Amino acid sequence: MHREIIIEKVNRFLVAEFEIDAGMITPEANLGETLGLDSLDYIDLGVVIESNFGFKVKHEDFATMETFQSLYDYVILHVGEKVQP
Amino acid sequence: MPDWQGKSKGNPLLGYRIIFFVCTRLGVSTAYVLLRFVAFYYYLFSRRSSRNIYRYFRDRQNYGAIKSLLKTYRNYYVFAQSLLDKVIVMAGIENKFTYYFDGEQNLQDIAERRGGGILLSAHVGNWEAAGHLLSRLNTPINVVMFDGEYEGIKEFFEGITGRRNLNVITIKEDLSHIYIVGEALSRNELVCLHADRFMEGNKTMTREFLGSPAKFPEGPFALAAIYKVPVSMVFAFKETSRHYHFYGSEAIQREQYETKEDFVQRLMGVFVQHLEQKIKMYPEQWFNYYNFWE
Repeated sequence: MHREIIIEKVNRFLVAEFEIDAGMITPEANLGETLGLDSLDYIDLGVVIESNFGFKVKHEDFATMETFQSLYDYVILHVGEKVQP
Repeated sequence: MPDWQGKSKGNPLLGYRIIFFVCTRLGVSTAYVLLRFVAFYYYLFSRRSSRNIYRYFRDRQNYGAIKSLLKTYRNYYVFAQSLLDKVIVMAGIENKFTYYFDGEQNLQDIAERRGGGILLSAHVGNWEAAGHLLSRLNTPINVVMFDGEYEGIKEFFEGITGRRNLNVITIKEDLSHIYIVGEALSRNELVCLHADRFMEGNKTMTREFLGSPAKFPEGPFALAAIYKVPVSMVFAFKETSRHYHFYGSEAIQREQYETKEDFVQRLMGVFVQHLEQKIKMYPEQWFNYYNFWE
């Protein structure tokens, strides 16, 4: 899956699931603050990523995702790993 | 804010050991007689709890003053009996308890789907005493409890019965238990949550309950919405000294078209409706000893 397609898919489900304006999503924006995430929302985010990309997110990994860019990088990395033979 | 702090009074391990000793040496009937004195002690000296339960009977059940006083004592006695019954059943002590399982097929349907599920309950009645019936569902069951409630229980029961097929998840202040619950649901297991109490800082929603607004924790309902698993409301009430009535409601699940928020609202509404209906049927078995409506 191309990088741009993944980013577009991530942004689409973030807008739908967390009901935010698409304009608020920029690569350097803070993920938790922009989406207003609490513990339950991180669970929600993990479930949405799993259902869209088919891999499980370890909850401790969210600590490494400060910005939207780091979320994209994480998903791209794991989608890449998933399609490896 | 309700003043529930997630801790039970006294030393639960000592309490369970005493109950176990009395039941095995003196018999259940003798133990029930002793409990009358224990209940009277708490009735007299646990003033804060007694006041809250008295107000519950006066304001929420609309009983007169004398009846509320009598019912407050009765509430302590039934609560003590419930604790004793729980020990008897979970420790495998010989007993003559009988059960009526209302809605067992609803729970069987959830278990047979093998897709996980949530059983929502509250601090009313004594579902643990009938909880061994859940073993008939033949699927792993996780029970979420406050640390203070669980303290001592695990040590006691494992000491006399060995490990059981019932996994306890303790509620942590850092909310890490939410991930453990999520993992259990991902493994398609059943998770039993009490949806009436919350800790300071938890998200809550207010619902009209027994004629007055009360706060309920959002967490259990949000988990059901996130994982889209079926949810059943489960309660067990003592109907006579030896008979329990277990209720398992028809499952509710988030629809494809339904937003998370809409489902949380709907599920909480159904839960509160079930809880209110049951506590009107069994008013003495309300075991929240703090001001629930504060």
